[in-house]
Amino acid sequence: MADITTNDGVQIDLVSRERMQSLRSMEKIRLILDGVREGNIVILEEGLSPDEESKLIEVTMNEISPDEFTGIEIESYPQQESKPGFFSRLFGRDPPNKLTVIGPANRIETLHKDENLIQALVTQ
Amino acid sequence: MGLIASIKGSISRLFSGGEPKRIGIYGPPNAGKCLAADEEILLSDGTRRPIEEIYSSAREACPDAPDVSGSSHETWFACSDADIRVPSLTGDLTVVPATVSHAFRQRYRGEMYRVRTGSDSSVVVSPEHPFIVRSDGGVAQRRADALSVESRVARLSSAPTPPGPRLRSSVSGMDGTTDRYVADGGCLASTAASPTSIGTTHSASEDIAWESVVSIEVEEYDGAIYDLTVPEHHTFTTADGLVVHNTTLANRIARDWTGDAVGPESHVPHETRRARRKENVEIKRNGSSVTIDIVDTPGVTTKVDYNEFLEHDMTKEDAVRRSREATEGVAEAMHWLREDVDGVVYVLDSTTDPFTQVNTMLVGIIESRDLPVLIFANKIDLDDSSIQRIVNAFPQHEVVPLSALEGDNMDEVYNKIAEYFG
Repeated sequence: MADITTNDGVQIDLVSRERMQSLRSMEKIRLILDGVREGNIVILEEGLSPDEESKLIEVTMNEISPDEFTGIEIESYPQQESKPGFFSRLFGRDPPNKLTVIGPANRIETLHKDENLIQALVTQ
Repeated sequence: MGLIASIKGSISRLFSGGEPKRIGIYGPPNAGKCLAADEEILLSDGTRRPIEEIYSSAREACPDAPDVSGSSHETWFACSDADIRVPSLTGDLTVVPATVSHAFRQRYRGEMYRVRTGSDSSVVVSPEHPFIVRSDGGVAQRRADALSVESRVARLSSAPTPPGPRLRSSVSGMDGTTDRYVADGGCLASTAASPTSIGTTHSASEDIAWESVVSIEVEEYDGAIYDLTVPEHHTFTTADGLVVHNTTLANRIARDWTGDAVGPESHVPHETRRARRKENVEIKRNGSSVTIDIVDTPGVTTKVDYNEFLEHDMTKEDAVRRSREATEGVAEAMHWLREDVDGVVYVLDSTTDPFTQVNTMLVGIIESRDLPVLIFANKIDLDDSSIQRIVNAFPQHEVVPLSALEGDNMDEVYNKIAEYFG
């Protein structure tokens, strides 16, 4: 990935569904956290599964470090309202997530969120 | 998870038995209970001391006791060795001496309630701090923000209004009178000579009086607040003899069935703390018993900044240590949810809109786990409680209304725990 260092801008990584689907869970989490820890805003065309979200929280907590990394801000549209069927529950098949925005907690603040709109303020 | 492993997991869940089930209690952080720093507490020796002084002396007596709060804003440590004894109200409304097992301190900024009674007794407490009240001919707990003028709260009948230079006592029967005044500085002064005699020889009607609340004022507060843990009875009294109590849902379940608590409840909104376990809680229903482990989890967050803790009179070193504990608590809660929990209780406040209090990501994670889930709609004792609002938000789950504080509908709670997790 191109690495452009700039002091007067915020880098946004738009990650396609295809790219994420080619990665294992921990690779996805690494991709996200590496980007966020560099100060980037990471936007996923298709978000993580609930299991991956849980791991992302756990890994994020383990990586929080004084004066270096205070964690992440993550927002995505709500999952589609559909009651999981019997097979879905039995086999743990997760419905796909929608677009997700992730950024460093000290640089991004969610201003508004509803099922159709996420507004965030990004600071340098 | 692979297909075979998934099927095996599902089948083993259906037929497993014997081992205790681990029930995770998740939900938004909830306010707890505490007193303002300068509130005086009645001790068994008849003296009254500000609760912050009691806390400090407990800390001096137990300097090496570890902080088990697991919270960045709280300190909670065992202090039985300090031998702090207080009069404590029992379930049958008698007063007995009891030793404080833990002392608790927390930074708090927010509303506090000054509750004043007809005898001009008053106490400043956090909104959810419970009082013992007379209600519909019975006795119940009611938190400060649910009290109203004319509520009748329990007060030690022998607790004096302003301390006088010479007060009389009959608690020990030393002077042979029937008066129930006490000696200088405190209530039940006879106990200064014989602390263990507190209340033990008196009937319920003698030990407790019911006083009407005459005013409730809301005050802004910014400072330390304190609490004491009194095992078994979970009550102590202010200098004026007002009886206060505390409880939480996890604590209520643990106490109802084991007589012990999981841990103190937080006061700081959205605060993170270490997850806590209470193992082998045996719940007996309909002739059979269910053994569960209760996992009381912190509020889930994705960020922790130690600088926020510096605003609460902490050194950087302390703030960093506590922020690290907080991150470990959230990581633990997530790990247990994926690997080590057999059922989930999601606790919601029935007085507020469920969509404003739920962490949608956490709900998504819980929903995906293929675990039995019960929704507990807490705080039904409050007027603005709406169970239907929570039922509408979670139509796919059974919603059980309750008041952990008042103990309302706990039979149904335990029936459902046995049904879902047994």
